[in-house]
Amino acid sequence: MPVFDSFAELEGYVLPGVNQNHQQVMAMMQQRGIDRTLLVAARAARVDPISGNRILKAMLDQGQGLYGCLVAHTNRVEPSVQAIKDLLGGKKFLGVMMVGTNPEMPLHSLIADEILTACRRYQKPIFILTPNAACVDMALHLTKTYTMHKFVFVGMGGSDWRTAIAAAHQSVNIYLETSGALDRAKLSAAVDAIGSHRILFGSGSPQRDPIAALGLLEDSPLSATDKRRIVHENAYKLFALDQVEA
Amino acid sequence: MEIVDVNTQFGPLPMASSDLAVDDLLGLMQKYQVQAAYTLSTLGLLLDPTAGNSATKAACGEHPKLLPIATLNPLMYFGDNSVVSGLVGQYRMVRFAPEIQGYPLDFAPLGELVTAAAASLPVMIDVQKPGDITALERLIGDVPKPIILEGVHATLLAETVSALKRHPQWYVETSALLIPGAIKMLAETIGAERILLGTNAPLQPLAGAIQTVRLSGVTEQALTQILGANARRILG
Repeated sequence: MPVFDSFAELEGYVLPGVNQNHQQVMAMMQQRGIDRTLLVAARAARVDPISGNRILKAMLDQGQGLYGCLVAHTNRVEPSVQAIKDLLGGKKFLGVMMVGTNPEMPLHSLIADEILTACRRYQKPIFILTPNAACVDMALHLTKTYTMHKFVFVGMGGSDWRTAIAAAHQSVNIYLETSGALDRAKLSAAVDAIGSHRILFGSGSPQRDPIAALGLLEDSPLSATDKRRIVHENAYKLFALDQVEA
Repeated sequence: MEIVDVNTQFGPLPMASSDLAVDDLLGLMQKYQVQAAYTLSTLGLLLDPTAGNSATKAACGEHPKLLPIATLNPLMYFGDNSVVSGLVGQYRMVRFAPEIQGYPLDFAPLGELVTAAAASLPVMIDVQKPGDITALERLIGDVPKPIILEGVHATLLAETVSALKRHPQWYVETSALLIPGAIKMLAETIGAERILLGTNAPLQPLAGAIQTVRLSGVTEQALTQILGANARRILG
């Protein structure tokens, strides 16, 4: 079964030789049976959106099956908006991740406004880190305010995954990405509540080995159809990969 | 190749959708050919060690593939070491979970209780954040029986290597080491004989935990050690 990993990071890992460049990312994908990976530049998220996104763009062009998610930083709105204008039109960038200074803290909706407005013309999904219930709450508010966007809740609420599922139940423009808590109960609960068509497999690699993340699906009682949707079909549709790869 | 899991649990867990059933654990063990699992009742961690230990003993008595882990709580320790001596011969090790049980690692009663327990039984202690392992070193130092660090993840790797180099009786289990390159690095720096398979099943997936070890890039001999031989040697 093809596997689309909807969330992995370039750089920013404690051990050398892992996800530092496209060769290392592709070697990991090959070893773990991943066909396509959506990468976020840790450099852009934690340090500098301009250089981080540009380095990622250069790398995407060198590897088959590699896609990017642009990082827009709410603390650096102007360069982030510039990066959106410069790069988001590219076929290899499939979405935008909005980040703040502290990934554990909710984004501020007023600051996010300018970035979300800049993204409007590209019609690509907005990724928001949701490691806890507070971040889910704020992200839910954004989904209701900006109904023209589709939102991916990265990490689906962490150990507060029930909150993320409840949010997705409220707003149909929310997709849940599965990195976060490795809790065997969460996928079944999510499928029961919202169906399997708005759930995306993501590993959070290299902070988690993709093979461990895939174990969440392997050990779950979901049907083969649900698993297929989660590991690749939903991503293909959301990111319009048939057009991107045509 | 024998597979032995040193970190499993059963019973009610508020964050799980339902109870972590013993049958669920046994089903996973059968599916992934895990020959034995060290386990404990969540009741002991979340509420009452005495009640939890009884539940653990009962479950393990019924299912020979399950090997009992006792829990103790330093918040309930008032200097009476009979709480420890009563466990010897009944349980394979003792588990402490500061975060879950509600006390810090830098906590004198924990130091006293771990020292008392580790005189006669292996001890597993949860660590969560940078500084925890260093605090634990200060608290207990060298003890006669093995100390197993539970919950080591990426940001604790440097501290783990540093501590394990100083303490030959300290070990690390893998339930949070589901990250690329970590197991190989640990095998090469501190030795594969110091690493034990732990999965936190059935809360967490068993399949991915075992596969992460299998694909870690260590030698076949190291794989045999990590997946089961070390647990048998250290915990019996």
